[in-house]
Amino acid sequence: MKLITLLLVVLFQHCSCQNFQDGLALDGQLIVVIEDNLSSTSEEGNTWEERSLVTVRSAKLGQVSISHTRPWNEKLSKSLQKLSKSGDFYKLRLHQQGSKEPNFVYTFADACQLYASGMREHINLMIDTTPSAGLLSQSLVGASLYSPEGRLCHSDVSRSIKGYNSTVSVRTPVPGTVPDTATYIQRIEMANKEKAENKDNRSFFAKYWIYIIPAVLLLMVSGGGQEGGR
Amino acid sequence: MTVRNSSLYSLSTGAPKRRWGVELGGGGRKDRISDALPSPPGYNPNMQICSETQRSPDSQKLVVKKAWDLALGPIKGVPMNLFLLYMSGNSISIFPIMMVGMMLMRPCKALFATNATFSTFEGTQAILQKATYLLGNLAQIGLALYKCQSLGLLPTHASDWLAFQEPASQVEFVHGGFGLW
Amino acid sequence: MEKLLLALLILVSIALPSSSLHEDQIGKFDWIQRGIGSVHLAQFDESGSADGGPARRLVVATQHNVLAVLNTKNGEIMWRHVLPIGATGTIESLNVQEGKAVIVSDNPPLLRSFDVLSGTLIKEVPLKLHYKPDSLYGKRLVQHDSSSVTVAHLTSNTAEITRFSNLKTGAQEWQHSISQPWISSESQCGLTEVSLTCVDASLGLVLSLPFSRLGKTTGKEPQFISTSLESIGLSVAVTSDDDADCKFRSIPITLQNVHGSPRHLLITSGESSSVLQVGSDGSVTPVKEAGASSGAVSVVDVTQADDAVIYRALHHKQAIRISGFSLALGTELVSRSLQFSVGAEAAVRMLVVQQYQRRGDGEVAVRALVVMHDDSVHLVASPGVLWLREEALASVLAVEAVDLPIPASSVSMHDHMAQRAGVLHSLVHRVMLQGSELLSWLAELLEDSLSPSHSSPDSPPALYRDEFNIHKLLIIATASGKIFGMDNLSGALVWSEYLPSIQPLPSDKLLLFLQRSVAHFPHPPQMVLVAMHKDSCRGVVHTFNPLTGEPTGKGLEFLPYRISQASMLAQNDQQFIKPLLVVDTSLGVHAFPSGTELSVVLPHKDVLYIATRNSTHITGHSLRSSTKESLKLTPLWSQHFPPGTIEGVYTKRPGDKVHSAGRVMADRSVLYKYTNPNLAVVVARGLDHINENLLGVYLVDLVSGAVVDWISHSRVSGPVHVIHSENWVVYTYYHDRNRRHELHSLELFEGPSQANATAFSSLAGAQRPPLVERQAYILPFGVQASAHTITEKSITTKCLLLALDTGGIAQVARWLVDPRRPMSGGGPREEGLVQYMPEVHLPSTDIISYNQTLPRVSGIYSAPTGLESTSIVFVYGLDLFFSRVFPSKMFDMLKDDFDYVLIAGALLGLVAAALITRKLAQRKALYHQWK
Repeated sequence: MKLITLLLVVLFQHCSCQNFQDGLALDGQLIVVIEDNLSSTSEEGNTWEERSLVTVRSAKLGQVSISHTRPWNEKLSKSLQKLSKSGDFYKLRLHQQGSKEPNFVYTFADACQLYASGMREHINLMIDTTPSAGLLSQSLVGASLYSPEGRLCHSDVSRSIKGYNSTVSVRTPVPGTVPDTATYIQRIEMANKEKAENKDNRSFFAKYWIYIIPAVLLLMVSGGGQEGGR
Repeated sequence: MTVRNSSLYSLSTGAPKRRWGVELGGGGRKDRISDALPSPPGYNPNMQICSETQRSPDSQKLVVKKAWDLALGPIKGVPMNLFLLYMSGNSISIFPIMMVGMMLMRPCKALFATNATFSTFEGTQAILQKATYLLGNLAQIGLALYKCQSLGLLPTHASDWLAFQEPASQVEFVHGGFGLW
Repeated sequence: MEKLLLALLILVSIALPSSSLHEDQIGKFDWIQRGIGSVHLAQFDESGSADGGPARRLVVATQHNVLAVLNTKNGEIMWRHVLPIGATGTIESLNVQEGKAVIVSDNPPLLRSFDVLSGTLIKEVPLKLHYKPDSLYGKRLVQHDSSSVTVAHLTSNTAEITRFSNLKTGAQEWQHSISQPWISSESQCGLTEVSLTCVDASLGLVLSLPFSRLGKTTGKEPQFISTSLESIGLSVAVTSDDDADCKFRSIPITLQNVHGSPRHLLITSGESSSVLQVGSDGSVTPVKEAGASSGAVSVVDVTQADDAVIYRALHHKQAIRISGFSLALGTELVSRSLQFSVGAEAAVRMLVVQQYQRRGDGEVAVRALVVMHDDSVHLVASPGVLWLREEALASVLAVEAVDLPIPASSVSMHDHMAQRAGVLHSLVHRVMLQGSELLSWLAELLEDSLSPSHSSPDSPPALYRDEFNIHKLLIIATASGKIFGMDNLSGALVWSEYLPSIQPLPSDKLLLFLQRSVAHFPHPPQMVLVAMHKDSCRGVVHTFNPLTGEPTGKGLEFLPYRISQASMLAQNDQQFIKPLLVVDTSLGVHAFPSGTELSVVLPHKDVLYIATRNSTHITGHSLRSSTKESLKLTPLWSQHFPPGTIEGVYTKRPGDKVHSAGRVMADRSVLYKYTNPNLAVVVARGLDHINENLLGVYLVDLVSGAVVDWISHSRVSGPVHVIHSENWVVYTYYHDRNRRHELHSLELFEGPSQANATAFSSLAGAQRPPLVERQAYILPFGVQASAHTITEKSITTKCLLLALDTGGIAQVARWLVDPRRPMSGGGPREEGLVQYMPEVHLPSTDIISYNQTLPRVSGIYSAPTGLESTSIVFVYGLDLFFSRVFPSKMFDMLKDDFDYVLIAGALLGLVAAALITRKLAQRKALYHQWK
């Protein structure tokens, strides 16, 4: 009997786990397409090439994974080096896969720092999880790209970059703080209770000895003085 | 007692009018010396006084010992000063500050007066003694500084140098962003 | 004995120092000026004046929803009622009879009757309409006289006309609904006693519908009687097609009511205008006046009598002449004309004339109230202008405080010295300067004593900087296109300049930038105003000297493009001018003055970034790819800001410094502040899927596009006021669910160590997101406007200045809303933090406007002074209020009632006493020695 109930409990938990996972998938997986542009800012050409796909399973829990559709090659390395030599920027364009009118989000990073760090990039996606996003419960709002190195880069050094080294993170809106009235009211009530309970139950002498002793001493001294001076 | 009564003394010379009156204050005139009492027997005013400083080897050792005592004095004073500083407390009020100030000034003054203190003592170990004295005083200064540190008066933390920090300069400048349409 | 002790105790307790203003200090450091707004209805109150003398009171109603009564002797406001903003407070018509001012306002319309003498509300009658008037869609016209009120409501293709004849109960007499294809809420129409008359520029017709036709129930739609514009003698002004999509152009033909007559209308087309008389049959006939065709004609006043006179204001060289013409004959009545002089650009908008009998000889004399297009109100009588009210000051859009120059004699004091001159060199330099100043001061003194200077009464005394640099000149730009230079200590106007061809930029903004201050002696100071052209949506740039108001350089420049962004650079050129960068809607970049593109912008193109925005996106651009031929913007990042639309982007004030790099903790370590000069607070408001209000607040670095923090408030509405300074942000809003006003405070820190202490770079800083501390507080009152105090070195604590809904200006210290306030009382306490309390306490001593009420505040401007403890505050809106604030009390100046006499007297007395006593003591000692 006990075994049967144990088995049932385990099965139930497993089922609920499944439901929970299904619930996450039902939330709407967000797939973001990343394209990049390795041309210089002074050139007019807008050559965007798709390079990666980011799958966001749950923005709130930060479950996100990236897969690169375009492998890194020598030509890209050379163009990145050219960009870093001229102090230019490496630009990215992101949009949600499957949306009818692609709402592009653009971001950029210093090419020199990316090159110096060996294409170690950190992509931060801004995902809106508040219900205003309409039908989609998660929508891409913005992105930012930076290289975690942050040191002075020497554009003359040539490196061989083997491939992408990307980390992706997700930022979602934080709910606004509400003034904390509950703890304040609790504190006031506690202080009131303490004041009500706290009564000075000591004896008269215990309360006022610090005044009585010096007075007595003074009296003795002055009396003794008088006697002595006689 | 130099109460002068004009009827007793002559105003011009100051000498007593009466023969038995004694001027105890002293006349102050040089010619008086020749009228003074004759010198006692056996006294020769032209004799030269000379003294001899001859030390015996025993007294030499005594001197060295005394010098060493002087040199080790500050070091012996360290435990006493420790106890004194402990008693004066860790708050910023007049008494601890006075104690710390005194304990800082005394070794400093002693350091400057090292030569004067050791002038009377000369010997083979003079330099060693001076060095020990120096170290002892430095130890006392160190003690006073430790007390300053525990009182929180020394600028050892970053917040003490915060006021001297220059504000960071701006590298990139952005303009616009507000809505006009 | 006990009573004496008690009295002494009370006295001692009262004598404690107080942090607020003393009663006798009112008016010493502050002043207030009341305003009424842009007048659109006015009438003289003739009941007060016995035996037909000139009216003593004037009732006015303004477009700012204010009903006021002015004293005709000096123009002072006797009383005013400030009605709510919006359709609920719009005053649509005014009629003054028998000492009562009757207005129709509110939506649904209310007939209110006020007593002219005291301002009390006597009666309020609701006018019941059979339809529900939606003020958002449609235009309402009201015409009323002593016996009836007619209300017409115009929406798309429909006009609803209702007449109320019983003014005691508000009962309807009749109501009709007419539909015509050309009627819209933008139609230019006027209601007369007998008809509804409209003019349509596209059809070229004047259409009039007499009310006599409405009574017939023939089943057919009542027809409008049309008259062509050519037959009246007017033509439609041709406008260019370039700005066809511009919503802000001035209207080509306007039709308005004529004061004093319920049967006449004034139609204006461009420069020409004509007065139309509307008959009961709907016929429209222009009134003929001799000699009225020439000159610029403005408006008209007609008095009702058999010998009705029509007055016109004609612009004649530098003067305005108000001439009266007989309505029947068309001849000019020379005895009834007035003349007064104005500036070159002035034009009359409204004219109200009163005829009265002069007491002496019984002749008819004339007085006129003239309202110009720059919102100034003049009362003109035969000697000239009796008084003048500058009502443009009730719609201030931009303020900037300018330092006054130092007198030329002491200019040498501020001559430039090399930056690293060495200690000895600086000392010698300083001593020499002080010596020469002393000599010049002595020379001045000698000069003054030998020949006392006679100050010329004509020219105003030149303004110079005072000792502590508190005396400044406030440059005020108003919505009517008038710029003022105002003395901040007295509130008097030093100069004013009217630019008739400009209007504010679409979001009710006028941009004022100080390109060069007075600190660079041989070069005059320069200021630039950015606005929009009145007849198109293109930009206008006006350069002028802030001390005199005269245009400098190119003066008023009309630009051939629409302005998208305009801001001033922080770098300057060899002549110390900071260029103004203007970005137009097609992303072209222009610099003013034009030479600075090469000298300033190109050398710094690698570090200059520009952000542009529309209602949902912000895009960041770089100027990197600019060349000598043209400045080009390349977009680098673009981001979307849900929910809804972006309401505002708030950056820090350019001159705001950060004094200390971090906060000192209880254990003597430092928590470094994150002071990003490129950070902006973006506020976006919208609705969520269940139609609840949603507010999104973002902290964005505008150079890299990185979002530092993102907060989403649900069920939050109301106007959001943001204060952003140093490393903190404070914003206020209204919480719908808790039904209270709340204040949210954010503070940004880098942490216990700084990444780079010498230079802050937004591009390199993206990898270290700052720590954000957040906290919310409850505000007892709502906020109308907000700002923060600013001082020269930012050493004094910053205070938030909040204009409250109750009418006071509160000064809230920033540490009261610090997000790091601890919840529990114990533990090591950081300096300056009190325990957390959810409500922000606003004691009445924190209200800097003491007992004055400022009913409608639209903005607060603060500026630093020469003293570190003082900051000046200028509050504008309907009223102007100026004051000085001392956020950390006045620590670097003697208080103003410092008793110099007492202290000097006591000092001298004691010194004398000491000397005398010493002398006496010496004498006594000597005497004792001799004994």
